[in-house]
Amino acid sequence: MALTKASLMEQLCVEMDLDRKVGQKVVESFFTLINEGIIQEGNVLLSKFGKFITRDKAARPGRNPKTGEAAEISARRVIVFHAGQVLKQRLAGVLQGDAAED
Amino acid sequence: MTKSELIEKLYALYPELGQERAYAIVNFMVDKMAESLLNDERIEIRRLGSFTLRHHKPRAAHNPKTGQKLVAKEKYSVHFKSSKELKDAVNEARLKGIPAGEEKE
Repeated sequence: MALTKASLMEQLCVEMDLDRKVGQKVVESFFTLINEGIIQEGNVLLSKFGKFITRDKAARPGRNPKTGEAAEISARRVIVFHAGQVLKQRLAGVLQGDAAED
Repeated sequence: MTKSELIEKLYALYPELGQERAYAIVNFMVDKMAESLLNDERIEIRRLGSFTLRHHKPRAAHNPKTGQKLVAKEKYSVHFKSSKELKDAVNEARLKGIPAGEEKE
């Protein structure tokens, strides 16, 4: 099972005692604001989780993997995500927990 | 945009929630997302993208400065795959001349 907007909304409504209609709107806005931050500002930093940054890539020669034909990969913008320090450390802790059981 | 700016923006949209609740909501969302990955459960947000945990086995490595050999420990990393919609939107922003975020550290 994956974590989705619907399951986040469920949990949020229970935790915050929110009306489901309000919860749904708030969850929707939360992600819309993140999308807008990425598009308009080029970065979104969520401490304890990670950050999104956009980066421009220059055009470069490439190949169509199906036909083997040479084709230029056009200049484009990509989104990169990096997990933050806190999350990385917690993930490392999971591995240690597996081995040593706290 | 930082998390506190996100809280401000959410609060501006829903002033009836109050500032404290807007703060609690954003932190709750971020915590749940981190928790999900810690449980090795993927996150799938339509219009944003998906996050999955990737496991990296221990591998032989070396210190690039000293050349000393060492073993890089096994680790998890978080992989983000952007939605097609968001990918297209950032490229549209590029064509409109909106600057990229770039990495500054």
